[in-house]
Amino acid sequence: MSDGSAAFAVSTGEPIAKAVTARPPARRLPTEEAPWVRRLLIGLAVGFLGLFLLLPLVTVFMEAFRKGAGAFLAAFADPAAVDAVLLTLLVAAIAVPANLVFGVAAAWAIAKFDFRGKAFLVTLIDLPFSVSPVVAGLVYVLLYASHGLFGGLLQSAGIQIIFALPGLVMATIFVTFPFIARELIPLMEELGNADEEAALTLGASGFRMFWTVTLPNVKWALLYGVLLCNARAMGEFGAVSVVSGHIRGYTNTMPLHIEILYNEYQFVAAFAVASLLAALALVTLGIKSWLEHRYAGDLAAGHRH
Amino acid sequence: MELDIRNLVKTFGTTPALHGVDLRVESGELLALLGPSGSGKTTLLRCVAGLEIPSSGQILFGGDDASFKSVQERQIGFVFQHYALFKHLSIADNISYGLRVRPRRRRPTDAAIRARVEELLELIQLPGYGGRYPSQLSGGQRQRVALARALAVEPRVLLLDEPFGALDAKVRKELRLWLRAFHDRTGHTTLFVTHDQEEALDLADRVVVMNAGKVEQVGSPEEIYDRPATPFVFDFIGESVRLDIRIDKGRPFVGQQQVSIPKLPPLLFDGPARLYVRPEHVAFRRDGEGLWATVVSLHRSGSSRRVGFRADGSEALIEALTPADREPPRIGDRAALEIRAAGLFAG
Repeated sequence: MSDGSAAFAVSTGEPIAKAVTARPPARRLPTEEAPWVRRLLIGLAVGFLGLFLLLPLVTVFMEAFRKGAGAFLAAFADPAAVDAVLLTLLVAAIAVPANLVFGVAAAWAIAKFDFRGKAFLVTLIDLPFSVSPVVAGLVYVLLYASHGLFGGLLQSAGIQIIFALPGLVMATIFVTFPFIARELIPLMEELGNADEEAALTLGASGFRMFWTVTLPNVKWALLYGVLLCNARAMGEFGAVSVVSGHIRGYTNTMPLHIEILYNEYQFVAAFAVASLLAALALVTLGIKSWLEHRYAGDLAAGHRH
Repeated sequence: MELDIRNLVKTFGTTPALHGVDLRVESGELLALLGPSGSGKTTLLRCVAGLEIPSSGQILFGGDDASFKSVQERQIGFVFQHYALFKHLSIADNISYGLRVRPRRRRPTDAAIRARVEELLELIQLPGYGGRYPSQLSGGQRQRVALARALAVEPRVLLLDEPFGALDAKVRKELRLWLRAFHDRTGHTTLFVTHDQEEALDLADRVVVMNAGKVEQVGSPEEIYDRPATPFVFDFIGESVRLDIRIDKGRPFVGQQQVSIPKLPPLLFDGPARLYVRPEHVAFRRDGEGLWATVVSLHRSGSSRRVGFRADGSEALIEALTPADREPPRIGDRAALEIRAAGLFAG
C-alpha cells in the first residue's frame, strides 16, 4: 500500500507538469486534472504518508538514540533482549521453511489441478488475512493448552505447546501462511502446464521436472514471498502474544520484549529493540524493491492480486 | 514406426471429446489432424502422447500396446503451440534436456550429448545458437529449437500441436515448407494438429478431417478437396454453396428445373437432398441448356471476378469464377449455369 501511493504521487508529478507548461491550461488533455487539483492530491498523499508512515519510522530511531549510542547498545547487553532476538530468529527459521513447503504444495495443487473444493481451499488460504491474529492465538490456546481439547492428551505425552516454542511457531505459521501461496498461485496459473508437459514428454520424472522446470520458473516470486513471510514472522505480535505467556528468556520474542520494556517505562531500550525490527523491515523493503526492479517480468503475474 | 488407434473414446467429466476414433498412421507418414476448434483433434494428439488418459480404446505403437504406458515410457516427441521452451536454459541445454534427464546407464557421455546438440543445431539451420537463450530468438527460430529438442531423444513418433499457430502468416508459410523438406530428410512418423486447411492440404501426406469428436474423412489432400465424403467436409474444406434440392424418380430438381450433374452415381432414392457446389465447378452462358439463373452480385477478387447467381426456384447464392479481364455480365442478366461437379447428399 505505502509504496503504491508513493509511486502514484511521483509518477503523476513530473510528466504532467511538463505537459501543462507546454500548452495553455485551458487546453488540457481530457485525462489531466486542473493544476490546483493535482497539487491538492499530491499534497494530500505526501502529507498523509509523512504523518502516518515516515514520521513514526524516524521517531523510532530518534527515540532509540535519544540518550546516545551507549544507552542504545546497553539495551542489547540485557540477556533477556538477546534471548528475545535469538527466539525470534529461531521461530522465523522454523516457520518460514514450513510455510515454504506448504505454500508451494498449496499453490501447485491450486494452479495445476482441478478438484472439488478448490474454491474453498483458496478461501481457506486467505483466512489468516481476515481473521484477527489474537483470535488465531486464542484458538490455539483452546485446542492445545493444558485445559484445552487436546491438552490432556498432550500433557500425558509430555508435550507442551502453549507457553512454549511449539505454540509460538504454530501461531506464526498460521499468521504467515498466505504470503508464499498467494505470491505463487497467480504466477503458476499464468504459466500453465506446457513447460511441465514438455519436460515429461522428454522423459523427465515428476521430481526432476519440479526441480529443473517448475522451480526455476517461479524462483523470483518464491523469494519475494519468502521475504514478505519472513518480515511478518519476525514482527508478529497478536497471535504470538496470546500463546507466549511472556516468560522472559524463554517465550519472549522481540515484539513481546518491546512491549514489556515499554510497559516498564524503559523507553530507550524499547525503542532500541524496536529500531532493530524496523531496520529489518527496511532491509526487506529494499530487497523487495530490488527484486521488483530486476525481475519485474517474472514477478508480474504475482502483482495482480 | 506405425501407429494404430482403435476405438478411442475420451470424455471430460460428462462432456464427450472423442467418440470412438479409429486411425492408422503408416511408418514415416506426415499426417494432419484437421478440424474446427472443439473437434477433438488436440485431445486425440494428447491421448497418443499420454498427456491425456483415454476413457476407453487402444493405442498401439508398432504393434506394441502403449495404452497404459506413462508419457515418459512412450518415447514420443511433442512440440507445443507456444514452444514451451525452458526459458532459464540456453538453447543447447534445452535441446539436450531429454538426454540429460535419462538415468545414468542410458545417458550418453557429455561429449556425445554435445555432438548431438551440434548436429541438431545444424539440422534446424541454427548452428552457433547453442549459447543463446529462448528470449533472444524469433518465434520461428524458437519453434525450430522446440522441434530439435523433441527430436534429440530419437522419438518413435513426432507429435506437433498447432506448431505454426503462434507465428505470423509469412513465417508460418516459410516454416511449413521447411518442415515438409525436413520431414522428407528425417522421415519421422509425424502427426500434426491444425485448424488451417491450407496448411494441412499443403503439408501432409494424408489429412484426417475431424468434427465433433469423430473422424469425418481420411485421405490424401487431393481426395479431401476433390471428393469430400460428407457434407461437413464439403462445407469445411474450400468454398462451396449448399443447394436444397429434390430428387424425383432418380433425377435432381432445383425448384421446377432439372439439373444435370456429370459423374454422379445413379440416385436410388427420392425426396429432399443437399447439393454442394464449388465456384470453380460452375460455368455460365447467355443461352442454351442449363440451370437458369439471374446475376445478383459481382466482386473483383484478385486475378478473377466472382459472379453471384440466384437460380430460379432457389434462395442460395451460387458463385462462379471468371477471369477479371473478360467482360463481366451485368446485374440482372439471365444466364444458364452448367454444374460440372458437385456432391450430393440425401436429407
